[in-house]
Amino acid sequence: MFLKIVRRSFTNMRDSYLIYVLACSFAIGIFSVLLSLVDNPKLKTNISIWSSGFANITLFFSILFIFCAFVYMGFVGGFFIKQQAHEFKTFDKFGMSRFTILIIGFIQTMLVQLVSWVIGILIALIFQKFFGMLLLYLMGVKSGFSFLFTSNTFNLLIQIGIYSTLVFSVMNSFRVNRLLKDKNNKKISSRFYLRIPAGFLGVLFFISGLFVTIVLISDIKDNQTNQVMQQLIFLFVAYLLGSYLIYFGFLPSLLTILQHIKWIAYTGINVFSFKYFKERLIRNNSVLWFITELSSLALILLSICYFSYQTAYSNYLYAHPFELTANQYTVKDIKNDLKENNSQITREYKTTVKTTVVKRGSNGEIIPGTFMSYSDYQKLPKSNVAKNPKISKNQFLILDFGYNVSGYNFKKPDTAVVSVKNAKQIKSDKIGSAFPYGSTMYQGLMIIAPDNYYNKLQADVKNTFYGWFFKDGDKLTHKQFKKLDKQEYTRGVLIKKADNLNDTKLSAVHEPKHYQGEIFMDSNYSRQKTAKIQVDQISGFGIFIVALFSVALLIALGSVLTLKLLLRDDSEWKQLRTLNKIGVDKGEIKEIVKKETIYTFVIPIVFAVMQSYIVIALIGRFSAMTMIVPFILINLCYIALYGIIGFVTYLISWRSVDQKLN
Amino acid sequence: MQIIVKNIAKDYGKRFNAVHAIKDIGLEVKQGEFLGIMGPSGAGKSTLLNIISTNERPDHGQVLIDGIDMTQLHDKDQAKYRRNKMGFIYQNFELLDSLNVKENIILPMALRHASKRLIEQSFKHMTRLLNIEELSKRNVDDLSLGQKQIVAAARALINGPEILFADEPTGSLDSKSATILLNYMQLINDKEKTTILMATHDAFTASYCSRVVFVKDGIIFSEVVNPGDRNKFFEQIINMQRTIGGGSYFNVSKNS
Ligand SMILES: Nc1ncnc2c1ncn2[C@@H]1O[C@H](COP(=O)(O)OP(=O)(O)OP(=O)(O)O)[C@@H](O)[C@H]1O
Ligand SMILES: [Mg+2]
Repeated sequence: MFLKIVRRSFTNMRDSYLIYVLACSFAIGIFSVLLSLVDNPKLKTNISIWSSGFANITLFFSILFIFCAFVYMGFVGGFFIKQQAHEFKTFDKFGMSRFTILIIGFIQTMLVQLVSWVIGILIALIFQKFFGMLLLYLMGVKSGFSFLFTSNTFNLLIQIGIYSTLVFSVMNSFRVNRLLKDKNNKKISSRFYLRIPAGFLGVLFFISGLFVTIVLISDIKDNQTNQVMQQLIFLFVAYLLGSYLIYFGFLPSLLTILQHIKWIAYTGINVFSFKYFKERLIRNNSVLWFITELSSLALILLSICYFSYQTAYSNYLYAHPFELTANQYTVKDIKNDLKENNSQITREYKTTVKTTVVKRGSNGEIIPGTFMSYSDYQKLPKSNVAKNPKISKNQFLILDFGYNVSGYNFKKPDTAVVSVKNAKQIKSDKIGSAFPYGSTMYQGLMIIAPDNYYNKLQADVKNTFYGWFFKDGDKLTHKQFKKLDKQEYTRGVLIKKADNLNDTKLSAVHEPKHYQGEIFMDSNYSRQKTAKIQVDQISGFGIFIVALFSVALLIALGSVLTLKLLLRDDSEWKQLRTLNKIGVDKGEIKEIVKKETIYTFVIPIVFAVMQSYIVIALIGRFSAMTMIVPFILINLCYIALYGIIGFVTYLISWRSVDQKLN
Repeated sequence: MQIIVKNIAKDYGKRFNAVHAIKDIGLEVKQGEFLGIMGPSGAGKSTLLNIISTNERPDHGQVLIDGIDMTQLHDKDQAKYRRNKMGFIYQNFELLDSLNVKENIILPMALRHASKRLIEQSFKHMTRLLNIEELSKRNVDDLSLGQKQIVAAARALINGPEILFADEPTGSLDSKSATILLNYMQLINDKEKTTILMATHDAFTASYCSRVVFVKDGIIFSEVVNPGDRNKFFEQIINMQRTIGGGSYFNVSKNS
């Protein structure tokens, strides 16, 4: 008896259950994979920071992930109970004991949950290797991944599965109980005295939110920070509240107004569809709102992730523009090593520089200034200096971290003034931050000077920089690298300040111990690969996590919408069938289904995209980087994926309507 | 509108527990005829009406309306035909419960893209005629069965259909409303030559028809033609019902 009822409800809603089970088992599968990666020995041995850092982060993310999944399951699980409200109430009327009905709800939920867990764990077992390999690949680690599920993980998974299943089943029994208790058939009240002002307010909030965003984006340059905080808080409130009120008030009111304009409403199917859409909208407004906000959150997070990745990557490029860089102190060793290893050099560069004392105009700081001549600068690879402004042969180019660190946007003056010891003061509006041999190779400023200025300049210290590109990497062995590493910060310059800049002395120092004055140590070599490994690992790991989360989010949000569309209640079904009976052809009903799908998917996305423009203002505040293009690309990808889900939903939705019509 | 039904048959369900709702029915309905269909419950009356009105396709046979074979038309053309030429009073009313009474009634007109003025005009006319003016803003869900039925009738009639299908149109009505409705149906049958096909259990209702066919177990059992005198016709119908069994309260026991 029980089983018969349960089986019938499964067959009646099989499309919806299928989607729900797939979404749940996907989430469970990912969770299991993440959990099993935490103590995977292959990762521990191959990735040096796995045990110390990544393992804990993975654990944290897996917990976060399953938490979100639980919220989803709890929330969406309720849809099915609601769907059967009519049936349960009928059982109640027939005198079936309430307890029996609760048990039916319980068994139904339990079966679905258990099936999801079993499938989820199977997915994890099958795809763990794939995900592990994907992770290693993204992290740039060239090594195999071996499948491993410790019994520990397995037990943990089974326990979580059983407990959560029980919790959700009990939760749904409570839902059934509440449903049975509440006797009066709740008709959605329209309450338009409330909805119209609320909708008006919502639109006002939303538009003012958009306006503030535009203001934020357009005058990023000069704005006090606390004012920005205020604006952001305002935006937050305005958007959250505004979009809710729009769903609650504005859209239903709009449909009502349309419905009252007779020459629109009384033509064709509109008589029906306006009211139908309105009912569905009112019923689903909190879900739509929730999805809007989560989508914009997802868009913002994706943009921020991309931005952080870009920042990390460009910082690393600033530090290491050549694959290998040396100066006059290390060049001999390195050349020997390269020859020994038969490294294939594709391009080789060499530039002499002069270092003297300079005074930075913006803060009066006395620091070393390293000069390079214009013609030497021109010979360097274009890619190394592409981010710097172009100069002609009579112009100065000032390269300074203090003016513009990649990523952090301090007040950037339009012109830099630099006083130079025993030479003419330099004034230039060409300011950059891409140091041709990498930012670690010298301290202080680097100035690209016209040839005759450079030739006349007296150098306190001279140095030569070397840079190489290779065909298959530098092939330095571990031992050679260790030897080189010892020399990293052994040389530098010492500044002995005097009252007058011209009397200030700068000299080279070696392994400084007890010198009087200010010491600036240079790195004597820089190797791209070392930094690259770490950048690759961190960004690979980040991409892995972000990708999993965004796919999961997309699936979750998409499936909520899909389910909301699929789960029409009896009266809604009947209405579509009735329409067909009195002469509305299937094409027009298909049109209704199509429009409904489009509205349900498009409206949240449109609001979400508008809201997510905050991120441009947000990032623009901290960085000179323009995020517009990647931001738009991220949005487009998101919209495209959403569109696919929407299209599939439309197909499924129409299929189910079509079946019922026959 | 002349309707010719040729040897239609319709089964429901799968092979082993199939129900032969209609076994073999042939029927000819002349333009402007008011045809009654009677028979015990489950005889296939509704099914027959559904097939003629193109809501369902027969397994065999043809339905010719003015020489057009309706069974060969596409879904879309069938729907168009239903919308433009036919009116329906369904046994279970088939009202749209998200719409109010007025919207339900005007729906067929709106579907035909009639002008606003015409819609309002016809609506007023119809509701006054059927005495349901005060219902117009009400929610369909809250109506009584009888009220629903009369609303359904209003919806069927508002377009001035060429063929009216009425499945138990008076089943839930009090005798006064039933008489009003039946008189109106007779009126449009007379004046506008509307062809009417009406299924009913009720001999009094059937006595308004010009001819009554009796259906039993999916075939036409016999028919009675109105001799011009309603009382006499009523007698004939009652007698026929007795021979067939079912349909009328005093011979239910015989049938069970
Ligand atoms: N959709 C359906 N699926 C399966 N069987 C059906 C379906 N519709 C009708 N039937 C069966 O076909 C037979 C004829 O049904 P129909 O509704 O035509 O009877 P009826 O003469 O209208 O009866 P009533 O007087 O009770 O309205 C019945 O046995 C019924 O059970
Ligand atoms: Mg019937």
